[in-house]
Amino acid sequence: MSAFANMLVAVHADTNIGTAADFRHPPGPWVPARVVLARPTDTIGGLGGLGTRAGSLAATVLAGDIAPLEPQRGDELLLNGTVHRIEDSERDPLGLSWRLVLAEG
Amino acid sequence: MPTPIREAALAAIVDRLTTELSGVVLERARRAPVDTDKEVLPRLVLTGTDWEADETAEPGSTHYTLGFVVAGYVRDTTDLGVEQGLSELHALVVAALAGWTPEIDGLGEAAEQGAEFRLYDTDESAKPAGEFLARFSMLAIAPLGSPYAA
Repeated sequence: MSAFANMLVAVHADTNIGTAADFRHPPGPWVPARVVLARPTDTIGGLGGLGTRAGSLAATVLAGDIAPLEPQRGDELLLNGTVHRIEDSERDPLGLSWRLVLAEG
Repeated sequence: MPTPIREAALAAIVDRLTTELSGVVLERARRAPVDTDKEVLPRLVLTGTDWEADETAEPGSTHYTLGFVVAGYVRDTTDLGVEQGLSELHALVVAALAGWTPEIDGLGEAAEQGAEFRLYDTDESAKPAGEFLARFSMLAIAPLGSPYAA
């Protein structure tokens, strides 16, 4: 593995940073994976009005954990007993990980 | 101290929205962004905007056109629910205001000017949420050089 791949594996395995999750392409079976979560809260420019503030939720998952599946909109991630719909996915330039944009009901 | 006719109009609009849209949080003159994750929604925010004066329409009087916007914020469990919620809330606002005339001397009826709608991107908000901005205008007539409610 490359240095980047080793780094990603180490980061996701670190229990202070990564967390356990399950991924699936419905109605397929759940596939265990490690993810690193990000929950940024940003101000959204409004329609000429006040603007709003909201939080988004993204997870980075190792591509090798879920291979040969490639995440897409409509797939699901199970986190702490809650199923999150995947709204968008983006693979890093080296193809080592996926950044998943998650929805919260 | 007399009440500026602009203030009288905006206060009357708040009263109208409060009466017609019970159960919807209404604010006025808010500067801070609305937190669509944590605040109670649906929510409306009324803000006065443009103020145009015409001294040629009537001798001794000034005809003002008061602009105001009503922003509406909705959250739901689905994207479609947000779209439908925005449509419903916007329709309620228009039904309450368009064609309505405050019972204050010098104020004319409110006129709908248009609206913009937006669902927040998933990168911006994990929870399905969105907003609209409805634009209105209202005619106000006051004695020349005295922009106060009668």
